[in-house]
Amino acid sequence: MTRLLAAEHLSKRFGDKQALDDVSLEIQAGTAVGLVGPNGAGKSTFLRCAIGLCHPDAGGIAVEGFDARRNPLEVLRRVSYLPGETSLYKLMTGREQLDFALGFHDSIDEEVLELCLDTFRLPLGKKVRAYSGGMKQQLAVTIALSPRVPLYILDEPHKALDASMRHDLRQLLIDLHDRGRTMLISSHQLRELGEVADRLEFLRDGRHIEARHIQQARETLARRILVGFSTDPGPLDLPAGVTVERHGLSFSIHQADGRPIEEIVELVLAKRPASLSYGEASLEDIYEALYVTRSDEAAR
Amino acid sequence: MIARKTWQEVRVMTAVYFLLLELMLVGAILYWPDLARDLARKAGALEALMPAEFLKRMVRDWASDDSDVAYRAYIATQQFFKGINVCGIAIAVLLGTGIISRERETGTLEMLLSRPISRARVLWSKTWVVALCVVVPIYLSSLSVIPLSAILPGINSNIPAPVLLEASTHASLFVLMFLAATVLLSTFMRTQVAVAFTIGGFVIAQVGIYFIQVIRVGSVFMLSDHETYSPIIAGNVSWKALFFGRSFGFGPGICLILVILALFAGATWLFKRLEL
Repeated sequence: MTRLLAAEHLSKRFGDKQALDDVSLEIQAGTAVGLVGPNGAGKSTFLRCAIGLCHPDAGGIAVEGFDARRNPLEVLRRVSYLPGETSLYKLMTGREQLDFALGFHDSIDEEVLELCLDTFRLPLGKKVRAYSGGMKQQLAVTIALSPRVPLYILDEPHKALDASMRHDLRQLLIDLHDRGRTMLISSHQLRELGEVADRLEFLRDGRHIEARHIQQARETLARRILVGFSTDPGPLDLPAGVTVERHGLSFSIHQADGRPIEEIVELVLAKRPASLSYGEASLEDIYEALYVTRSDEAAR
Repeated sequence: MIARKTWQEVRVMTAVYFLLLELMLVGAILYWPDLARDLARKAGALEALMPAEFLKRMVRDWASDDSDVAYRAYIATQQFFKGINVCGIAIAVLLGTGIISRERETGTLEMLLSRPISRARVLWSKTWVVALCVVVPIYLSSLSVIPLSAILPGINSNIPAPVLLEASTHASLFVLMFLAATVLLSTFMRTQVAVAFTIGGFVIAQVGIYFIQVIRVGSVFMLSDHETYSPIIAGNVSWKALFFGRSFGFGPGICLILVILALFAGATWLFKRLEL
């Protein structure tokens, strides 16, 4: 597959804050990549560096071989970008805003434009200032997805959208991905991202979390059993090597040795729990393991 | 496209600015017959009251025995020194802050700079429209001296168009210098208020310096005062002298153009490196 975006050892500092620290990342043509991380992890800075809105202190980032710093115009011709903060001219109507923003691009994918407009059903005759936050975001998404370019960079596309709007956007992004679009999407909406992206890349404190750490978290979580009881079950009588954390009537059981997890599950089921879950870790669980647990530890 | 959008944004303010210039000019011309009559009787007393030599010279020019000379000197003061310096600089700063700072504050700059268009073109497309909106009213208002002098009662003099055009050109360059400075500041100051406050503070300080006899030579308003415009309106300064000086060197016109170009080149250089 063709390498569309390549970031190599990207670093960026704002005053005391190291926004990006030696981040390397590649995106192949036709893939959808999700960029995940808490606020301040460096997601938006990375995306801005990719299109030349921000200049890295070290390293480089290129789109189809064009460096965003040295050839910003060539990069901008190859990328359509959705800013993280909705940036629209409030005194323009939706139609005027569309015409203005899309007028800079050489080629517009009319089919996708119609698809976006059909999906979002925006009142294009009204001034943007009369739009709700969600409608503004939908208009911005329409502007970002309609140009015919090799790469789409979307910074928080789900922001300000309610559940129904998010559903519409998810379907739209899946549809576009099926058409072979290459997308780099940053979002806090892990579920939405998980359904669209081929792979997720995690950032933490400006650093790219390597795939092996994510796999490690996934494996650790796969060996965790969450149990809830309606009455006090007393001691669980689990074998040595099993760690148990108790929060009221809820237990988090972690089995670190090589014993099959089903053995522990059998033992716990004998206590007749009200709820029990184990096995494949969800995206939220991995996120929690990578970020929330870490920040809790830092707080302690 | 950017130029058209910019025009749509600034056209109302441009119209208000032109109307303001016209209102000030009409008021000044309507007052001239009374002032001329009073000056004929009490010019000496008024001159004596003036605290500085340059102000005394201004009164002497207004009180000239030749009514044409007096009227021209009066228009030089009222239209060019007062009207355009006040309104022109104010509108240049007001519209100039909108070129980058307002877009930055509202977040639309990020959208604009992520379009496939060079930053220099973005800046230039916006600036030339604003520059025209600042300059065209100066020419129109100054040329309207001719019909207004003919229509309004009590005016027996008139001023030929070429000298009004010459003075308008100099005044436009002076005002454009403030526009270029505003654009330059906008590239590294984050808010419109900060830019306007800085330029406004500079203007106030310069006006203050101008009115202190011993240090007024250090004021930028020495380039755009009664003593600059009065000889131009009197027809004593050729176009060549305006631009190249009397000995074909650097006249005030060329100096202003060079400053404007330097400020705008600096603004373009910084805008290309601007990070969001």
